[in-house]
Amino acid sequence: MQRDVVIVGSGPAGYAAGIYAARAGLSPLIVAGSVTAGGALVNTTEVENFPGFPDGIQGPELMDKLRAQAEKFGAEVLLDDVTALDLTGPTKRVTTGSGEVFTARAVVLATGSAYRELGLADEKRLSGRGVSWCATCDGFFFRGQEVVVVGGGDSAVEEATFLTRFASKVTLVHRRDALRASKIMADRAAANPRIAFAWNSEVVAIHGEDKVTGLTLRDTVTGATREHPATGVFVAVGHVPRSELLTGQVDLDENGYVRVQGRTTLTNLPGVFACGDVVDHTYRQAITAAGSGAAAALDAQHHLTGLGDVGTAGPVAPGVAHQLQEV
Amino acid sequence: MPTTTVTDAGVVSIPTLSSSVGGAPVKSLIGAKPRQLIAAEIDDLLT
Repeated sequence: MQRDVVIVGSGPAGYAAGIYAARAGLSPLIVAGSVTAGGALVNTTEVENFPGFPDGIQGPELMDKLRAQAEKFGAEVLLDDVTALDLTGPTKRVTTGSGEVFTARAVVLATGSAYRELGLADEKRLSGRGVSWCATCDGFFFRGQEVVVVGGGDSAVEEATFLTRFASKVTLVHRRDALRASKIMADRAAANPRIAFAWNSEVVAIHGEDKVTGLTLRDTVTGATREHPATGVFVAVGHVPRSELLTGQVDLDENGYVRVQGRTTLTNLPGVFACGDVVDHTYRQAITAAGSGAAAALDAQHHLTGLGDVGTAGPVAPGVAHQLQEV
Repeated sequence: MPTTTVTDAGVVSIPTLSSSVGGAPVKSLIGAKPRQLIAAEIDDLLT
């Protein structure tokens, strides 16, 4: 059966799109991801800045509530991954990890972002063996050990500060001679006796057989390399959009973010809308993602109204769809 | 906090799915994985 709307992704953007599309009677399918359901907030603790929660709320609890709200109005949530997308024609095809193919007249892309990797040869091999992207998940295992945090922004400083609860010494490795982090965060790190700074330094190699034993750092000014012992390497060098399935179909910018038209969520393809962190590299907040998710559902609804038969998911007259595509 | 077991097993990341034969670890699967992949890994170990 062809659906009106399939939403790919289940962070604040995906679920907000689900709530709006479901309330519009579009019975959306949300392909939430097999292990990433709920998005980035599932890996956070207290969320203090989501409006409506003056006492804060735990990230996973917030995502459970958003999901429940979407389901309450008739959204269907599927815990599977999208492995392929065919978005160019009037009938969109969404293939999942279990091999199921869903067709829809509109697709909302809310795939979010992933942690940026350093791009080193041994980084993947030692991932989960000392290389980590989540101090709150893995910091506990490095009690009394020396660890490194790579990065210079707020999240790097936050990771480093958190790790001082466990590690005997935390070295913040940064390519420049000053942090990019906000002043309050940078001051907090500078005042912490367990945090050392390796300025003008970049990681060029991570060592270890089954576990990280150390790394090679290069001075970005002199080019000299040196060895640095560490059993843990926490990478906090930003994010990349999860747009790899869109390449060649949806217009992306030079960094891989989906291009949308003006203040809308319209992509270059009729019936394909994008929202949340896969579009936004500026604000990247739960509330801005949720706002753009709502906009995407409204844009999708307008699109479907133009096609006629909204809510029935009936077949689209080929002429009509073609005509709209030409616009 | 009883950390000895996880330390002995060499766990430094969660989730880790470690399998042992006769008390000796043979394989560990680190990180959240799709159901099909975990099922395939377990099937592989049991055959």
